[in-house]
Amino acid sequence: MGDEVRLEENEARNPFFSNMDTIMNVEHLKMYFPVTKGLMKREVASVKAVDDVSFQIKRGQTLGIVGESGSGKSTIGNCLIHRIQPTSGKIVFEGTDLNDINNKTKRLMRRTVQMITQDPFASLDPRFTIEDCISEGLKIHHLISGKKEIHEKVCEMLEMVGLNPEVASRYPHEFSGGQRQRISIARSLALQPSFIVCDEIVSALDVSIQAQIVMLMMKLQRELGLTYVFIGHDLSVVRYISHNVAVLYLGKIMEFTSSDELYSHPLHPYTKALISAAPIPNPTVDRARERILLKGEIPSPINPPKGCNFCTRCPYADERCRQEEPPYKEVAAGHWVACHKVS
Amino acid sequence: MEDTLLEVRHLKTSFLREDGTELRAVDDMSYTVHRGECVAIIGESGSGKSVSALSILRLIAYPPGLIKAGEILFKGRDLMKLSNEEMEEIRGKEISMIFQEPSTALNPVLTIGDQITESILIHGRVKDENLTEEEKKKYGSMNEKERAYALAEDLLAKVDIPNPDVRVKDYPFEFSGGMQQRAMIAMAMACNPDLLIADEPTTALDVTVQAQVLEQLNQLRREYDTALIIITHNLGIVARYADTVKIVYGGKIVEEGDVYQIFEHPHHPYTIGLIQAVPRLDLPRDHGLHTIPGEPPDMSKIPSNCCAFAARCPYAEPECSRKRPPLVKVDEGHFCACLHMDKAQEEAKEVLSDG
Ligand SMILES: Nc1ncnc2c1ncn2[C@@H]1O[C@H](COP(=O)(O)OP(=O)(O)OP(=O)(O)O)[C@@H](O)[C@H]1O
Ligand SMILES: Nc1ncnc2c1ncn2[C@@H]1O[C@H](COP(=O)(O)OP(=O)(O)O)[C@@H](O)[C@H]1O
Ligand SMILES: [Mg+2]
Ligand SMILES: [Mg+2]
Repeated sequence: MGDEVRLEENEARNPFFSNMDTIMNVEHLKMYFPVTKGLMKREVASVKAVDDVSFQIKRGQTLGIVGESGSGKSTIGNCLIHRIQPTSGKIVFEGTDLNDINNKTKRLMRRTVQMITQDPFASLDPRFTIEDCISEGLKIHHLISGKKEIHEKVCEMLEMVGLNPEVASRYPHEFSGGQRQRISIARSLALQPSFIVCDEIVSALDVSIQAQIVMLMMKLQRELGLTYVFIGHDLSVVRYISHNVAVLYLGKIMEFTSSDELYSHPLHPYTKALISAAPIPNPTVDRARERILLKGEIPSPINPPKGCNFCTRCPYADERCRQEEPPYKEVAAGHWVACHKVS
Repeated sequence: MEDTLLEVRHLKTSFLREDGTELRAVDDMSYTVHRGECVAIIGESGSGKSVSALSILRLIAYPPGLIKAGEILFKGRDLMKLSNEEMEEIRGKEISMIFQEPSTALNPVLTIGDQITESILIHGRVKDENLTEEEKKKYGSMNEKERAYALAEDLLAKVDIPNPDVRVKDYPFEFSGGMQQRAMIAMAMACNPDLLIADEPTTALDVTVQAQVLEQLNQLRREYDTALIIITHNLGIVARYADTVKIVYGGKIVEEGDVYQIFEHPHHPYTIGLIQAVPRLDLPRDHGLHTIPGEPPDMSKIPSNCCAFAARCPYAEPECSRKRPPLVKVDEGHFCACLHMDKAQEEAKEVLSDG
């Protein structure tokens, strides 16, 4: 009882609190990492990991980000949770511009904004019990005190993610990948976040466990009104959980649209190739589909092609595509594309 | 059947664990591979897929591993009875294998060309008597080493490596992951094997590269009429390429059939659950996933005389934990090992027809 009052007080003090429909607004986000050489760490080039990306996220919804490895997905995630400072651009979370954030709001953000990764346990101290890891954040943020209260909170969280509270006294190595992912979800939820970045959280799991975690995340979203950014490379999985999907290629958004439009009306040639590359688990359906095979591989983000980032692999690229960068424009309500060939 | 290439009969491979218990990684598997056929083996992590493949090549190290029983009839010869030297002759020449991580399978200090030609030379692939008419015209005037390099270049070109005459001199680190895997395919195909085993060949690759590599693999195996055993978690890949499918759970085959039977008329509760657990891009978003409750079994804890899936099965009865269900024929070429498949299938019909 006492704990809940504490938590509510915290919520009331939350300067982010507002009823706006848009929980996060990202404008012209860029993250360039320097490439250095030699002892003097002379900067010789930069990796354009995220290169001018803009989008909005609606409260209580999921934005999916798909892209192949190195396309900048995790870098975007790290910028959104304010783990790294972007090179330029603006991120407004709950009305607060992260560029002029003070220490107090920073602390609050560390609680309300969480990130779950592919194997968050890889870096975890094997000597700590599950209870220790889930309660660590509670203690840091002074959400709850008292041994009994903390234990009750931990049990409640474990139940919420579908685990038996008895596991609280066990150690990380005793759990399978799927169970570990549930524990890390419980650890994040304990802090009562409103916004969670899920970075490849099901990529390493077996098919049957993948579905369990996806369903769990969707259930938690409905029950707790959470907002997610769901990052992955499997288009079918990302699109299933997301309301909107951003297709990323070499640090730029090629296409952004609702999940249903994405399959029924993809516009960008890269999106079409990605959809074609994802086989549909039904032989009759899949074998009747058009097959688009891209040539070659993703260029290096240190040296992206001139013009459109996708021009080296695009079957429709012409001279203009190799010279001029296509503008990112809204071609239908809520449907954004960066391609010269789409009007 | 005369076009039978490989017949695995009652294969049992175990690992002896430090605590003295036995882990039955492959628990009495039997299956047949025909010439030119693409067989997919699907199953969860730890279900025994890789071990069954490595057993065919006798690549299970003792201790702790041991092939305890079974026959592996390859073109009528039992590989289990061959000497190590005879087995060496078969590996890489008649049966080759591609692994998940190309970087670990390639030797970092040898050029790609040296590695491809090594196997070509060892197996005498470019000796006069092994050349086709066409190859004789092309390579006839060269010495054996030159021939091997020319063939290596041709193979790299076949798997779409740009400038193969230059890239053949590259070291593995100079190749991207996708190129390394394509080089592995070139190497695996160098001696024109009858059977290629690919263990998660594209899991480590990007989606668009994965599609390229699989397409090349499939084209090559058709061109050379090579049978392919592909091991994967990805049901989409199976639906796209496989002729027949084996569903493995807890070291046992629980269902097998042709790809249409498995995906459109699955009988085993595990197969049914698996198919419904994968999101479908062609259906509206949030079309309703079904999850299989619980976790894959701890292989060291499941006895042989039971259904390994019983602990997670919605139809399980006490008898399922006491008796191993036999593989029963449900249709021509379609077999399923479940005591309650009728019930499972009734419900599956409803769910699958939604899709
Ligand atoms: N060298 C080994 N020593 C001990 N146990 C082993 C060894 N290799 C495999 N096993 C065990 O045998 C079982 C089957 O393993 P296998 O590698 O065939 O699984 P798999 O189906 O290929 O899984 P994955 O999808 O993860 O590759 C597992 O329980 C595994 O732990
Ligand atoms: N801390 C960093 N320093 C330098 N380069 C980085 C750093 N983090 C990411 N990168 C580079 O930025 C690009 C995008 O990386 P990342 O966001 O991790 O991609 P993804 O998550 O889509 O695989 C890659 O080329 C990567 O090597
Ligand atoms: Mg990443
Ligand atoms: Mg394996």
